[in-house]
Amino acid sequence: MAHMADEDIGMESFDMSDDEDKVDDAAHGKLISSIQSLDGKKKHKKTIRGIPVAPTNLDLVVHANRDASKIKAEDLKLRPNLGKTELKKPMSSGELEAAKRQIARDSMVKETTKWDPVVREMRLAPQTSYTKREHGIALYETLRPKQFVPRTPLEQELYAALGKSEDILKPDKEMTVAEEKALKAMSIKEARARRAELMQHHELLSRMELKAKRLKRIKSKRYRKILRKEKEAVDKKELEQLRHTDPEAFMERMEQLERARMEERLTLKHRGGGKFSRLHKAYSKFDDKTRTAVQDMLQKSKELTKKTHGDSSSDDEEEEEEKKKKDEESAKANDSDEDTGVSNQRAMSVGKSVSKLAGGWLDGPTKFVYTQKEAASQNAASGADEVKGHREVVEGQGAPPSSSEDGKLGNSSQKVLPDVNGLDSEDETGLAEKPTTEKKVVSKKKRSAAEMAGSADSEDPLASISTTTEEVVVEKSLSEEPKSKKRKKNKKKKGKEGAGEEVSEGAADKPVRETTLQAMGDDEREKEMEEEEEDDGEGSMKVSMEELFQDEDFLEEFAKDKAELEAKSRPKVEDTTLPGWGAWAGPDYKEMPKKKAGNKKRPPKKVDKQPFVWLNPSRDEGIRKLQPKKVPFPYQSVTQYEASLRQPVSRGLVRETATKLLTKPAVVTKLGHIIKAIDKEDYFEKKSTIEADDEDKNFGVAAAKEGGAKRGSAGKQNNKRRSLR
Amino acid sequence: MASSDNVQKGGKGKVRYFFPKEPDKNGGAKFSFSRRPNERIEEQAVPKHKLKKWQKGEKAEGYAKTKFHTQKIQAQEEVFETVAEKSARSELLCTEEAGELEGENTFQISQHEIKASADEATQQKIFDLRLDQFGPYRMDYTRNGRHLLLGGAKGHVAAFDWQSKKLHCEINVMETVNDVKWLHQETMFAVAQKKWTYCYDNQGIELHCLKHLDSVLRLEFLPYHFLLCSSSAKGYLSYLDVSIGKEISGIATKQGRLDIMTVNPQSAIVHLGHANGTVTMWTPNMKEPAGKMLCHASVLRDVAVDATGRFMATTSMDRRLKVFDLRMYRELSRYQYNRKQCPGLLDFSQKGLLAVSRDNVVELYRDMATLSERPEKPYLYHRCERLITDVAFCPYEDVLGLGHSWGFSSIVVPGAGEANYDALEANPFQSKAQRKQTEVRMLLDKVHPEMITLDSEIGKVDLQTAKELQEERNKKKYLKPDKIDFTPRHKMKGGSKASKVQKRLKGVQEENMRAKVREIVRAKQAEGKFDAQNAKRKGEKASALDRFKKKIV
Repeated sequence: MAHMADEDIGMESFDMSDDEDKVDDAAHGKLISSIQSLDGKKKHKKTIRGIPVAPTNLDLVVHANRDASKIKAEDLKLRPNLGKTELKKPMSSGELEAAKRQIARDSMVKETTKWDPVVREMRLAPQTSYTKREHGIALYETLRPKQFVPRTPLEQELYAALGKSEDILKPDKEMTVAEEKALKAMSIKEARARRAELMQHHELLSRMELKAKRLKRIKSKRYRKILRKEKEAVDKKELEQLRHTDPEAFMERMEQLERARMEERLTLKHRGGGKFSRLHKAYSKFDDKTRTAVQDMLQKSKELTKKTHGDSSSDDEEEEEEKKKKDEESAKANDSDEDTGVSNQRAMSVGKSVSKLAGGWLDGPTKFVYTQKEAASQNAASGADEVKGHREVVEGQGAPPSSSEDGKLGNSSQKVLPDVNGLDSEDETGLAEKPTTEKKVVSKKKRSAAEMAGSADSEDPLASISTTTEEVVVEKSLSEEPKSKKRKKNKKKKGKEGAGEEVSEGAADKPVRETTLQAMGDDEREKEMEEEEEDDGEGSMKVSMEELFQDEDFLEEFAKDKAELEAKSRPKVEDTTLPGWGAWAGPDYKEMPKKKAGNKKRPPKKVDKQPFVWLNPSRDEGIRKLQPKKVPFPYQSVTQYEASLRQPVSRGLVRETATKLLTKPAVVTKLGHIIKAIDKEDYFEKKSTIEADDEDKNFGVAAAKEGGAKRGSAGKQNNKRRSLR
Repeated sequence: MASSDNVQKGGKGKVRYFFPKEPDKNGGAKFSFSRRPNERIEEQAVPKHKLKKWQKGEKAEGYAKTKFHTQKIQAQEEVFETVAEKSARSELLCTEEAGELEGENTFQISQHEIKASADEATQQKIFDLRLDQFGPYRMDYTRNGRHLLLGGAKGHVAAFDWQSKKLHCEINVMETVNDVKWLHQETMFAVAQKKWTYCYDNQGIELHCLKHLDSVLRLEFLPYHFLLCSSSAKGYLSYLDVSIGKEISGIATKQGRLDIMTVNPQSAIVHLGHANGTVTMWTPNMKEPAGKMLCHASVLRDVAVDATGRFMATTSMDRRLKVFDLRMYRELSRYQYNRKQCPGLLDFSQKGLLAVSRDNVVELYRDMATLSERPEKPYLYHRCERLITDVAFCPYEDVLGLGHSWGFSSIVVPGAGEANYDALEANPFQSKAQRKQTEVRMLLDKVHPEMITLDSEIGKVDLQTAKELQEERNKKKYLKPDKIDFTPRHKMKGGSKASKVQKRLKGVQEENMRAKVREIVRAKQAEGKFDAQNAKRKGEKASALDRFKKKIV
């Protein structure tokens, strides 16, 4: 638009072109909007209400539309250009500080958060080994900058001139041509002497330098005063000399001095120290006028010396002076350097990268810089080996032999019991059945037979509770003919009945099957005798051992004991209300039946699932003191926490290899092994800002780039390795 | 200048200097298990059932509170998995196999027959000691099964290495001997004598007289806790820490004469058998029993607990032998003896064989505890000359020791002992130096008696207190409520599938959430009412102090 405006101004007959311009504008706007809408995004343009005219050629438009002769006052009225010309209000110092701090913080956060993934990864790693990292001194060569190519004619000329110089150091050589020549020209002895001389000189110079530095740092006022006085004295002498030799210069000098004095007096340093002011002060005691004058003066000086930001105080001046001095000194030093000659400079200072003779900007390749470096790539490689080494050699030669326990269990379950039940009468019936079921029936039958024989006393009362139904069934089965089908049916029935009873009783115990053991392997004779006894002596042998010790009271006793113990462990609620409390306590007092607190529903009495077992409710009191009282931090559930503790670690409980795996140290270090801070380059791709030399093949860039890439990949490898392990 | 040389040579820009390593003092040769890097061996996957044996439990599931810790836990789980795998693989190294007698009617095989057919080493394990003068014998094997201690009721005490038959000592204490017990190693043993209990070393020199252990009938030793348990005729059960010589706990059980005692080797709970048919379980931390079971309606004769701590066997005067499951406190199986035969003493072997004595006969049963099959006939049968007074299996050997009135006899029971011993746990072939080392290690690893519990509560959270604390915390409004810490109940047969458990958990959480929401809605409704009322009132302006009012979320 501005451009167009310029054109308008340039044109003389703007009346005519105005309409065209308008059309152009509209078309142009349309075009631009269509271009802008190409990317699909609609842009809401802010429409300005009013005359659709650019503000710059406003007056022109105005003139075009009206009579040229008439100019109304409204037209000349300046419209306030909102926001554009107005300067932003400067920030207050506090706000500025805050903004600065914010920026500093943001940048710092950005810098530090960059490390977050690295730190996280390191913390997550099960083991960090520092012993494998190399910790010696590593030397790196800095990148070689691209060689200077002269462009401007001056540069080219200079380059051509200097290119012939023998003092320029060529990149692949240690010494300049001049140096080499000089060395060749000298005999060894001479060279040595020269070298010694130079060394001495250097030493002297450095001593001087040190001394100067020391002197400069002295803060003693007295010393400075003396110094100044000395200087003045010297100046005076010089002046005297000048007076005689060169009066003009002398006058100039005097003027200069006078001017310096005046300037000094102009500064507001000297408030009351002068002779004049001291006199006035003394005098002001007696004269009001002088007193006020002195006070005014003091006030004025105070006003003037009030510190403002932009003001440069006298201290600054001093500093400036010092700076100047420094510059001069350094210039002098440079001069002296020049004097010493370039030939031996290289030998003296290896690390110096700037050859001053060449003018600074013709610097050759820089030499080595000592840095210490952790070699990450090697570390990564060795780490990979380590990972592999962790796996133990277990050659898969088929499955290892199963544990003896397992094998035994398997055997036993598969084994079919030998049937040697000589006493069994049913065996002879010859019913083909599975041996196991047969046995069951046999045993039951025996017992029931015994019962029928009249030794019901011997029945275990514990068993009698749970096995009554069983017995009934067995009896039934006895009464019936022993046929396999029927037996099976009975069995089913029995199962059902048993289950039903369980439900009704609420006792979860399944009836425990009883197996009769026989005296095996005894002498045949004895067995026979037993049989005989059993046969004939039923009546006489009735009072057997178990009958002697049989005591029905055992059950009752235990139940009683259990009830007592349970009552003991229950919390006791004692009624502490006194008689008559909260009730009429007059002469006709009768003790009222105690109200039960509320009509709480008593929970239905729990069925004792295990009537013959009592477990002390406070059995865990002791260990509870040692248990954690809540799930500790990173865990979110009890099971999770307990799962983390499930694996024993000790050598006595798990195998040696397992112990080693489980107690792997988080950090492995070695005595005397320096652990260095992480190198940034190992983790972040370095953007090389230095333009590298393309021409020089055996040096620098390619290799360095390669190296950089290697390092980067090594870093990645490193990362990968960590995550794998 | 070596650096510059290097630079000249090649394209490598990096030059490194390293301090040379010092030569290895041991010559540099190291033994390592690591595989050579180029070697590629495909490992066969370990079968699942084998792996399961070594996995210690369910994996930790779900997320931890932070992503970082979730990853940490997952990494830990991976380590556990590798541990299980490695352990399963290392089973390969257990080369010894358990012996067994195969065929029907193995009980018919006598010790003579075994002796005739077995190798010489086994032959020497079958022997009898005819000691008919000093009456019925009690005996004890050391933990590694190498040494034997005999105590005759009439005062004869002898300690010897029963395999080499080398006698350590033989003394007569000139007093009735009720029981003998090795302490943690073969250097010391305790003898319960008529009045007091004494400690002797393996030279037979009296070390201590424990006067507070008087009229002791049975002795037991807890090797991990260094506790000597004794039960007396006066109903007094005491725990003596032998490492510090202090009585940790003494309990008057009020149960009468305590002549049946055994120890659960897994939990270190002491089981006492009583004349009223009950078995009581004791810890040193309580003056009351931790549990009580009525096992028989008759006088108990003996109690035994197996090596896994799962099964308990009892015998009583009602001629029954019962096996109980100690996890459920439930009867598993019951065996009835014929008349005239009453089972007496019991002992479980390391592999789960059960020795039952009756009078002068000892019978050995296999698989007494399994529900699928019940043996009707013994695995082995042995008859002694006199009444058997003590039965004990020898650890890590297929040997059963029998103490009887005429001395001691040792018989071979194939498949009784653990075939592969763990030398770090108990080494039958340990040298003197190893013994000393082990002693130190045992002392360092000594378990505090407070860790003895009925249920294995170690490594678990105190749920009761945890719940209380959580409730208390959740009551406070200004605190962030604790998330629900609901431990899903274990259901059998697929009920504990992860998905179902999750569903249940979800259900509970949802319910709680709903309750919370309901509460909030109610509170808001109430507040709304008040607000409406307040709006009607005049002069009620928003106060600056409103910010301190309780906010309802």
